[in-house]
Amino acid sequence: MDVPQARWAKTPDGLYIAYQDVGSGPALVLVNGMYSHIEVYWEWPQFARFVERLATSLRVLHLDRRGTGMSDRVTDDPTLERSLDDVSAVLAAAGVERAAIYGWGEAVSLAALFAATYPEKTLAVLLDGDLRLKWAPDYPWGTKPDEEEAFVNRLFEIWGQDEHALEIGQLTCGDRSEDGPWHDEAFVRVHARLARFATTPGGFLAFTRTEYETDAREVARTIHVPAAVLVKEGAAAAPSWLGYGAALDPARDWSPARTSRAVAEYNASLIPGARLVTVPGAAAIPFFDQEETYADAMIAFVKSVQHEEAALDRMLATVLFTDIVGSTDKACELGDRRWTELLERHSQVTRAMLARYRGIEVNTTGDGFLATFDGPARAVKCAQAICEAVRPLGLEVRAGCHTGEIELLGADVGGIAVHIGARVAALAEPSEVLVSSTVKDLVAGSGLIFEHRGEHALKGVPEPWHLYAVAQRDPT
Amino acid sequence: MDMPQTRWAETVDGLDIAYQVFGEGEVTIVFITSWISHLEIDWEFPHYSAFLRQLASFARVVLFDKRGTGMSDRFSRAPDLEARMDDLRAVMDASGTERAALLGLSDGAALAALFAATHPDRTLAVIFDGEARTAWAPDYPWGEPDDSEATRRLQEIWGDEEHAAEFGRLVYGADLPDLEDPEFCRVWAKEARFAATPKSMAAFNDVYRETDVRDILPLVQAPTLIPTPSEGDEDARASDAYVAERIAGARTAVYRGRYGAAYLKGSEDYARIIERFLASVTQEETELDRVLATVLFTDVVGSTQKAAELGDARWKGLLDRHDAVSRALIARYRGSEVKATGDGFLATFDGPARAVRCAHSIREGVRPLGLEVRAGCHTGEIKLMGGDSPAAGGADVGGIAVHIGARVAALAGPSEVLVSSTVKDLVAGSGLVFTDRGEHQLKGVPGPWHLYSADR
Repeated sequence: MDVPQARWAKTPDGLYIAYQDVGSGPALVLVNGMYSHIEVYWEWPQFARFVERLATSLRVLHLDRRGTGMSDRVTDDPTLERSLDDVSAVLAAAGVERAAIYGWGEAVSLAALFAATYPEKTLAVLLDGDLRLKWAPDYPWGTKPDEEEAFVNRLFEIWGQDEHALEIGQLTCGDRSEDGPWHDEAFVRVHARLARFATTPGGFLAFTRTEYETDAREVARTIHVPAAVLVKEGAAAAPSWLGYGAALDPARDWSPARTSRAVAEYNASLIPGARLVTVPGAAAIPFFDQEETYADAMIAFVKSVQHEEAALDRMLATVLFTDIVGSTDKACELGDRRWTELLERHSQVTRAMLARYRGIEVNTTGDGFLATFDGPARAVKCAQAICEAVRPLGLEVRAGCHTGEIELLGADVGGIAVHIGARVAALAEPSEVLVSSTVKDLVAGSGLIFEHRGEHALKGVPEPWHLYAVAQRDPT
Repeated sequence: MDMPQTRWAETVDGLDIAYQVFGEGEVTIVFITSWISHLEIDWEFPHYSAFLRQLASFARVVLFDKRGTGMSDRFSRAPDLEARMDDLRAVMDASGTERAALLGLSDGAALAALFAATHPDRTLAVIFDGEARTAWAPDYPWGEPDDSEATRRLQEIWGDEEHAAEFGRLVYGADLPDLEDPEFCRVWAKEARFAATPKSMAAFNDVYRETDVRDILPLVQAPTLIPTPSEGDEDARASDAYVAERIAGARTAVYRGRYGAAYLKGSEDYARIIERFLASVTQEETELDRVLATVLFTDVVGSTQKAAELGDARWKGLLDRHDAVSRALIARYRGSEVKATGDGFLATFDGPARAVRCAHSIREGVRPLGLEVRAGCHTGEIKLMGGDSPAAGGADVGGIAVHIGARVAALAGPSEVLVSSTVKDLVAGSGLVFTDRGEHQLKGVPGPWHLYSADR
């Protein structure tokens, strides 16, 4: 794949945010760590393979947040709050309403904050690495101020210098393992170049300051979108923030594989309902090894959320079907013009009754209506009211109600419950309201009286259904 | 009851509309009178004031003089229906009346229908005691024929007590026994002098004759009553039937008396049918507030023991985290938090499967905190108390279904999600797995209940 075309999205405060838009499927926003450059990243073959794999199933929106790479540089601190606008701007520019947000490295906190702030725009959040958390007794993996200071000073000194590329990598990733990425000379060179292209030492300092001021604990606890915390099975490296401390103070005894797992578990425990997803590989940079398997794990999670979302669109409702009895005969008898007028009156009357009983019109076939109600007794009473109200027009309708979980399909509804409702209505006599046993059971105590109409096989619906006719209500 | 205080409401176009509020009741009736009126003089009509007092015995009543007449701002042009709708809205706003039953008399009935069609959310009910159209037309043969002669004569004898009986006959358009009562006729003449000038009366007559809301009738959603006098004439009956046919679900009720009963002797039966109608509407309204919902109760297991073990501060910290997790998951599964019960939650859902899944997620979500919850779900019609819908949040819920939900939850074991058979039946096909937990008696709920343990 060629390096995708860069585009720019404009934020409300007038900054231009560079992004790439590749692949198709549910959207996934890919936010890189502290410094990034959307084009230089592609020089890492592992990254290219990672994104290419993601793009087979997802629409990847890869962006540089403000202050880094090809996005506008800023003079003030690029706080997390402001960077939220960067993600929103890219979503808006790409015409995406909801996306999965993936953050790795230092972008984990940004992704988490976005998910907590804009749940309506977040399909799911995927985090690799540690949320920015201060040191605490129950979180010994947090950095302490003196460690942060030492780390910043050293990195500032050697920023972007090829001869220090290895040290930069080790500092930012904490990975000093024998077969880690830092023994790959090409990789190390790209990494140093990335730093130079991404920002200046001053820009880096500003980023770091922002990060050190952040504590994402409370944010994490308010996330209520589906969340996954990804962790490498054989993590030979500690996650990023931990790495800084570890790299500077070899005396602190980190056992990377164990602490990575522990940190991931701790992070996951902060987010309600978060799933811990273990992926094969050992490198601290998510896509450095096993990048395709890693991408597959991400795809699988997004797909599973999407599947779950579809189930969330099911809601319990009572469907009401009405249908004019003998409409063809009547139409022939009256002629087109008068029949159209009568139909118009019938629609007005029906709509007025639907509104009074708080029904929602789903669609109309001209001589019949489908509506849903959030109260079954109201649906039945509405049906009775429609039967009575159309009679002065010289019309009779048959009506049927059923309660069940329906699927919302935009403005339409679907699901077996809708079919059952239609079948029940078709069996009703003129001016009769027929209901399923489900409706009858649910409205117990409403004062409605039912007459058993026997068991019926409903076309296309398994098992026979007991149907009941609603007794005529007292005309006073 | 003394005559109520008159107050003024300002309309959007800056006019003052005089109104009175009196009586007490669950329902507010806004009385829309016809033609001309005078809030304070009208109380001198003996039968009319008795009628108002009778209304006040079961409802809160709002009465007003429309623009151009009585104690409201006068101006040269008689108001059309739309301007009068502004008056009505201004009076409702000023009197703090969010929603009312509109009692419309004569062309006031046309206004009531127009208002009901335009503001269904502010119209509880309509009492349509009048006509949809005033004047005769080929397709409306029950309308009144040209009456310019009568108007001219009315102008001549306007407010003249010597011609009070003739005045009454001209206004009423027919003979009636009340006109033999000189006091009744005297007040009528006096009201005319106080309410309008001969010229403005004529302007009101013109507007009155232009009234035609026939096309509006099918758009009225509110429950509607059409009072029909036992001594009505053929045309009145035909026009009532015309309206009844066009307002969906309109009810007709016959009262003993004549048309215009509010002002006449023997108005008791007229007031009674209004009272009965409004009682049925109120009853229906309470039923409309019932929605089908799935209630979920959760409760931390062994909270007292845990609290003692941890000490107040740490227990509070833990509960805060439990609350945050529960709230996040209730939101995720699109539930509405009804209330926190101390160490648990009550939430409602519009999908039963989602309620059960939410319970599962809360169970998993609080486990890392070292907590266990028990949870119970039940689906049934619940009553919303305050607020519009469960989705609006904040409002409380009630009804037997809520009690059942609480009882079911109480029977759940630690980390168990227990549901009623109703829930189980409704989520068929959702992939949830149920284990039979047998029949139980639920305290305060009749009949045995079959309960099931739900798993993913």
